[in-house]
Amino acid sequence: MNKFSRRKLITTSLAVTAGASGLAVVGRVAQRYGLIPPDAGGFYGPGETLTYAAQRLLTHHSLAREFAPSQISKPPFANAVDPLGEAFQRLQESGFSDWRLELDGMVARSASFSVAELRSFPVCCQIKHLACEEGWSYIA
Amino acid sequence: MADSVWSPTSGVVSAVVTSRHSAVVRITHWITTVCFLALLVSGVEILISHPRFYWGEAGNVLTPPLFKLPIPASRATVPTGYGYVLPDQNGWSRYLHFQAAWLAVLTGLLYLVFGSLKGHFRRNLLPARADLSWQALSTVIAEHLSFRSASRTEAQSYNVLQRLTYLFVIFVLFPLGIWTGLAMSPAIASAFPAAVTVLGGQQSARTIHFFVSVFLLLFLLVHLVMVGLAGFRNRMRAMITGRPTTNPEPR
Repeated sequence: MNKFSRRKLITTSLAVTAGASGLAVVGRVAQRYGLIPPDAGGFYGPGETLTYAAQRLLTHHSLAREFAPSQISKPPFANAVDPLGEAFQRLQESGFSDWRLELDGMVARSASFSVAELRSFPVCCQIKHLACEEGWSYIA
Repeated sequence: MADSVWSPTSGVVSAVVTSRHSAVVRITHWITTVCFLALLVSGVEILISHPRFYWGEAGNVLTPPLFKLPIPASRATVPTGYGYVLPDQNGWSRYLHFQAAWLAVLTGLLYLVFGSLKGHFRRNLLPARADLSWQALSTVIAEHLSFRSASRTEAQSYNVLQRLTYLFVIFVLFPLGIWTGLAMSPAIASAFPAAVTVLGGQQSARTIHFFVSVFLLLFLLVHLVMVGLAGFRNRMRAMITGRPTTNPEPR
């Protein structure tokens, strides 16, 4: 049996070339549509990229689930709060006059709001599920 | 792949035996082995952050658990009854869990495509109807309980208990593990809420995911014991090199 026939060699190299250029094209398209995460490098890069890309493709128009008032977690849950740092305390002393909420990333219009501007907006309420990666969660 | 043509009812081995397991089965078997061990280790690390289980959508230390594992936790906020906290290895564990899950799913897809196209499921895993009769089943179960070593025919093919177990692992446990794993993801829950609500909620998904892992671990242990009883070196050689194991194991 001729294990390394010329035909096999040619088809294999063609398949490898096609596969490599296919991967390169997929990489370029993924980059173009924002499917490559910031942590795409390193040992865990492939898994992170697949998760990130899959989430962006699947959840393009979906919003976090909302729940009924009857589903709100009883008793209310509050996780331990890290000590508020010096920067926070400085902002607190000045009444948050220098603080601004920056909106950018996957938004239609980037913007920046002061606390006074935020207070002037109408209020809306949503009942959502909050889950920690550790495994616990609550609805509030 | 030139297979042994073996009919489960008569137990006749005919034709040329070139390979006990095809190359795709062997390669996917070992990739899945590595993935499962990675998922197991990282899963345990993630689990000890919060070794309590709930039913429904939400659950935390203030809600009564469905049950809790009698082990210490890696978080001081979880009341376990132990006076100490385990080291927290949650970060890399989650990375490893997802990476291994992707590799396992992709390997599983390759295996499914191959298994359907090449008749692997039909020929090697689907039990013959005659083997599913109560009498045939009880004979095989009795043989197993008496720990008689595997017969010659079993060195060439799977018996009915093996077939049913493998089918259960491949088509029930693994898909359920993937589904419940995905159902824990907030992104998946937002895109496909029904995939979560059908299970009873995200905490229910986590609880089912835990039981799937327990069953898979149980399968692994029994699998290893059976490989050991059937002749560890022979069976390992068959799954690594594919060489048939018709000859008695050399001593």
